Formats: sequence, structure tokens, C-alpha cells
Amino acid sequence: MNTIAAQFLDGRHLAARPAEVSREDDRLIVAGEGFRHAFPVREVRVSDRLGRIPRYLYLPDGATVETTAHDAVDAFLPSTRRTRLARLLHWLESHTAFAAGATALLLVAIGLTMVLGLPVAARHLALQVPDAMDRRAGEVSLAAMSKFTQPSGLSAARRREIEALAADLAALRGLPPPRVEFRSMGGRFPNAFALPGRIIVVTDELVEVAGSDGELQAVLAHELGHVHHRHSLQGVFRGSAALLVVTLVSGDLSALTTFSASIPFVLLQRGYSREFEEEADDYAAETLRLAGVDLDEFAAILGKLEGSREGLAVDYSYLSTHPHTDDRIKRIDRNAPRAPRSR
Amino acid sequence: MADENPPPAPEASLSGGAPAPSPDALSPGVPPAAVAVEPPASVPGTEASGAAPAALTMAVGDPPIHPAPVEIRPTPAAPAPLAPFTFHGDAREYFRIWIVNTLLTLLTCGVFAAWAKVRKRRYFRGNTEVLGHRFDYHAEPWRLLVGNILVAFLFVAYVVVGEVYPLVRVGAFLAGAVLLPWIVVRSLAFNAHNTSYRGIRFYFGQPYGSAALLYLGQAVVIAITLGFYYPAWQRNRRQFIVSNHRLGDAFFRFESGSSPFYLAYLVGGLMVAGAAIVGLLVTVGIVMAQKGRIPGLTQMLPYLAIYGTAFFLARHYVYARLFNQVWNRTHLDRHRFVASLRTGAWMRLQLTNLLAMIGSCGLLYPWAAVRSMRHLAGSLHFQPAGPVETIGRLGRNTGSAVGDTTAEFMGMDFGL
Repeated sequence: MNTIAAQFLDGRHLAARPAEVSREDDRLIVAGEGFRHAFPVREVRVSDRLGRIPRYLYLPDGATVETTAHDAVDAFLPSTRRTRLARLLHWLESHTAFAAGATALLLVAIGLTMVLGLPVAARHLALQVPDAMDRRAGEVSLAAMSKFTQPSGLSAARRREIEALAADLAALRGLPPPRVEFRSMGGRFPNAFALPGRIIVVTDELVEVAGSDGELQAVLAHELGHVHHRHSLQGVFRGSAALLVVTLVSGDLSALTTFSASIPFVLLQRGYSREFEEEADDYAAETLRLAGVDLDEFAAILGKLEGSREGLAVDYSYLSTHPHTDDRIKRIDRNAPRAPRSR
Repeated sequence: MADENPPPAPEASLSGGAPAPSPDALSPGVPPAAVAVEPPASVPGTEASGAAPAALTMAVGDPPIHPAPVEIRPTPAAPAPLAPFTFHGDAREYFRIWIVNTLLTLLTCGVFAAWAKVRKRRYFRGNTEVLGHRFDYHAEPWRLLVGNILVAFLFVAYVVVGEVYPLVRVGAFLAGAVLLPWIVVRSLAFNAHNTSYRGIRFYFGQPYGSAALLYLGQAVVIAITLGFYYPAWQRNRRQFIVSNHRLGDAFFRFESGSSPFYLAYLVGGLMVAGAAIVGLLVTVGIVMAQKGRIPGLTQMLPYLAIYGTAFFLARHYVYARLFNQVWNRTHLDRHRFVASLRTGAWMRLQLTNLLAMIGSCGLLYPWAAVRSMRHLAGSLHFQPAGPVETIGRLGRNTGSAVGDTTAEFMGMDFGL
């Protein structure tokens, strides 16, 4: 019968002696110079194959046989469910094709999680955030924003008019009035922002640029869309996968307010994602239809905002992530059932 | 091999924050002497293990040893040559193993993680060789699974119940702190008892008293001294870990003062402090150059990059210094170890590991883990003072099975 070259470790001393292992019927024979042991094969346990590390036969009396004759060992010992599973695992681990397949699968799984899972989780979580926490996040955002903006120069009467416009639009959608804040950007930056806490920030420059209340309503309706979908919170969660995971797992929202301070900066520098903008556009189109405002007003103000972008410092490229203005207008035309318009 | 584990986080020592015994700090360390080499931090999770020393074959004239009543005739010895530790792991081979196990872990929602961990440890120990033999790892994966489930259960209970009754969290935290010494000892014992060399197992004692003193009492001292005690604590921790390990009936010993530890942390701290100053100057320069702009994250990036890199390098600098210090002061019975890990080479290696990991989205982790381990093994030698065959099974003199029975009671792995 075949023999396997091995080392015999008696389990009593740190000594190894060369030995030969063979099988006689149901017995495993371990023999070397001056010793010969026999063990029932069924009582011998063998370590699972893994890479090229040595195999160990654990003998019933506490001794061990160490060998690198992998195939011979596998052929020697009885096959059980456990050893078959171990062999399968080793087989998978030793084929490059499986490694390549596993790599591809892992990458796809990770990619899908990032691309599909993250936004879904962010939306779910943003809508779950309690109103009180949403308001606190809004306060933090607003405080951060007021550091680089100036108090508004608009008259109290004008502010009340705009607040009323926003409240009316919200009422059309069955929502409570948003909180409208007015700030001045030093003459450079006509725009509006939606912050957490149902806050819409309107810049003096926007009010100056807008040619009519209809145009203001269009912008307010768009921002109401962001408010309704809580895009600012969604953005925070999307921007910090770590925050998202921690919050999902632990339910602890306390870190959210810290991150909220970054919202105004992110909005200024990068704006919302295209997807959020389209969602807000759709919301605005429906709101404007209910309010009887012609979509031309929306197109007009979009064009003005785009025009004002030229000449701004790179950091203010807020509009750059917005869908191209023409596309947005076409999209709204296509999707929104609306009153006839002339153009 | 070991290493001492992950390099103790420098920050703790620097910032004065009290490095509470974080699991991170503890775990790794498996004893240098004893087993376990855990690859450094940058390689997350690798715990490789290495093991330690034993030795045998001193090939040269091994007296024939007879079986039964083993008598050993020591070879009178000329000063033995240094016996190198060698790591035989192969990055491609380990990549195949790692990727398959990772995928299985995902597909089984984490249940397979216990099996994957055991395979990883077996791979690293089984490829670490000294004096002609490798280390073997015997842990039953289901014991790790039990530990994993327990930890997951406690975590969920802490989070969910704590949400409703915040007091439960305080109670759980206190309970965790009190249990920490026990958990540390059980984990060290588990991994020691499941590691063997030439058929002889490692052991870790049951020093609950000193563990409590170290992880609770001295942790308070660290807090009181604003972290200045941290290097001394690290020294005490190594002492605790090393000197409670045995290979069979042979004890590991560790004798070292605290000064080398303070020196290592001092240099590491200076590296981080220097980077913080340089980074600050760069940031101020950038902000001044674009004054009027709204400050944003982009202006902070150079600072974060400089500080982060310095922190990373300092961490590995300290690791290498302590690796040498710990192994060079470790004895196994009459035998000793010689470590010569070069700090510059080690920092370069870890930096390239980091870049490779980032660039490959973590796919090069097996490569990083294997080359770290190979480098560590290549920096360590065993210096036998005579034949190592005299080391025997624990309890063999009395013929009692106490040692082996103790090994059965090995607790569980808590993933430390």
C-alpha cells in the first residue's frame, strides 16, 4: 500500500520525527524509526485543506501527523459530509475563475448598493426624521448661512407679500405655510434655497430679478418641492454614507444637526442633484397649474437665473448641476398637464 | 510573531485623551510571544497570526528521540544560530481564498464570517514557519459564531432598548466596562489554546486580577494623567500579555522598562504635531490667497491630507518601534527572539498598502496583508539557547491532564 511521508509529533514534546503513514484496512499506521502506532481510521480527524498549508492528522491519543501530501491524505481518509464540504470550499478557493466571478459579483453588489440602495435609504430616512429634529437642523443651517449673507433690505410689506405667495401655494397642496427667510447676497446671487425645517431662503437679488409675482411663485413652488421631499436632509444622508448607516442602525439622529451646518455650503457650491431638481420641477409644475400660473413664468425666471450666472466666481456655479434650462422647460412642457400657453 | 498588535493608537497618547482600553487597543495584541501576529492596522482585520516560536528541529544533530517515555538528550550546544521566521503566504492564493470567503459571508448574511475568520487565521498561522515547522490553528468556527451572535445580540439590545430607556445604555456601558477584563482574558486564552506548534499548544493563564487592574485601574490613571501614562500602560499591557502565555510548559517572559515606549510615542507625537502645524500653515495660505471666497471643504483638504498621512505614518512608526522592543525583550524559557523591523521600510510598506487599498477599493487587501506579514516574519528571528525539544506538554510531569482540561475550557472569541 502507498505510504505518505510525514512528520510525527507526539504531543508530549516539541519534537518532530520523520514517519511514514499508511493504511491497513480500517487502521492507520504511523511508523518511523523505533516506533509504530496504529489507529482506527474513523477516529482520526484531518484538518481541512487550505491553500498549501500543511495538513494535520489529529490522532486519538493526542499526537499529530503533519504532512504536505494533500492528495494522498484526501485519498486515505474516509469521506464524510464535513470533508466533502471542506473539499468543495477548497475547490472554489483554488480556481481563478471563481475568484474572478466572486470579485465581479462583489463589485456589482457593492455598486448596486451604492447606486440604488443609498438613495432609497436616504429618502426613507429623511422622511422619517421627526419634525422637531428637522426644525433644529433648519436652525443650524440658517445660522451657518447667515454667516456669509447680509440682512435683507426688502421692506416689511414686500416680505409679507412674498410670504403670502408661498403660503397660498402651500395651501393649494394642502401643506402648512413654509417659513420664508430673506437674505441679501451682496448683489451677486439671485436665488432661493430650501433648507430643513420647511425653511425657504429668498435672496433680495432674486426678488429684484423677478419680473412678476408669477415668476416668484414659480421659484417658490420649485423650492416647496424641495421642502416637500425634504431634499436637504436626503442630501445630507446621501453625502455621508457613514452617517446614513449609523443612523439607520442605531436610530440616533444627534449627528444630523452637525452635518446640517454644511447644507448651505453644499447648496451654494454644488446645488442639488439633477434628480432632486427634476422632482422639484415636477412638483412646481403641478403646483403652478393648481395656482393658475402660466408655465411661461417658470421659463422666464429660469432663463434670468441662468443669465445671471455668467460672471460669477466658479464657486458660485450653483446652476451647473441643474439640468440645462432648455431641457427643464421642455420637460415641464411634456409632463405637466397645463393651461395653454403661448410662446 | 506577533506583533504587538496594532500599533497603539498614537493619538491616544498624544492628545491626552485617555485612551480607554478600547477593544482595538487590546485585542490585537496578542502576545507577542505567543501567538498572533496581527497585521497592522492598515490592513484592516488581518489578523494573522503568527505564532511564535518554537523550534525544533534544530536539525543538526537531533538526537533520536524515542517514543514512549521520551527521554531527551540535549545536544550540547554551540551557540545556536538565529532561526528565521518565514512567511510562505502567496498574495494570489490568499486573494482567491479571501474573495470566496467574503462572498460566502455576504451571501449568508454574515453567518459564514466565523468560518472565514478561522480560515484566515489558519492561513496565516499555517504559512508562518520557524525551525522547519508551521503553526496550526484549531478553533471550531461555531465557537466564533456563538461569540458573534452574542455580540450582535448585545449590540441590538443596547441600541433598541437604549432608545426607549436611556438608563439601560448607562447600565450596559458599566457592565461592559466591568466585564472587559474577563472578555480580554477569555479571548486571549481562546486564541492561545487554539494555536499549536509541533503538536504542542499555547496557553494563556487566567489572570483576571491583573487584567482588571490593567484595563480598569490603570485606565483611570491614564485619564487622570491626561494620557501621559499611556506609554507606560502599553508597556504594562505587553508585559501582561506576554508573560501570561506559555507554549506547553515553557513560559514566555517580557522584561522591559517604560522609557523605550515613551520614546516611541514621543517621536510619533512629534510627527503628528509637526504635520498639524504644517497643515495649518498651508490652509491659512490657501485661505489668504483666495480671500473673499466662501470657505469650503476644498480648502480643508490639504490639511486633512497632511494630517491624516502623518497620523498614519506615526502610527506605523510606533508600531515598528514597539514590535522590536517587545520581541527583543521576550524570552521563551531560555530562548529568545531577535527583531529588527526597520521603521522607514515599514512605514513605506504600509503607505503603499494604503494607497493600493484605496486605489483598488479594498480588493488588494489580501496582497497588503500577505506582504505585511511576510515583512514582519522576515524581521523576526528565534535564537534558541539549546534544543527546544525539552519543551513539553503542560502537565506532563505529574501525568495529570489538568493542562489539557484547562484548554477545553477556553471561552470564546469575541472578535477582539
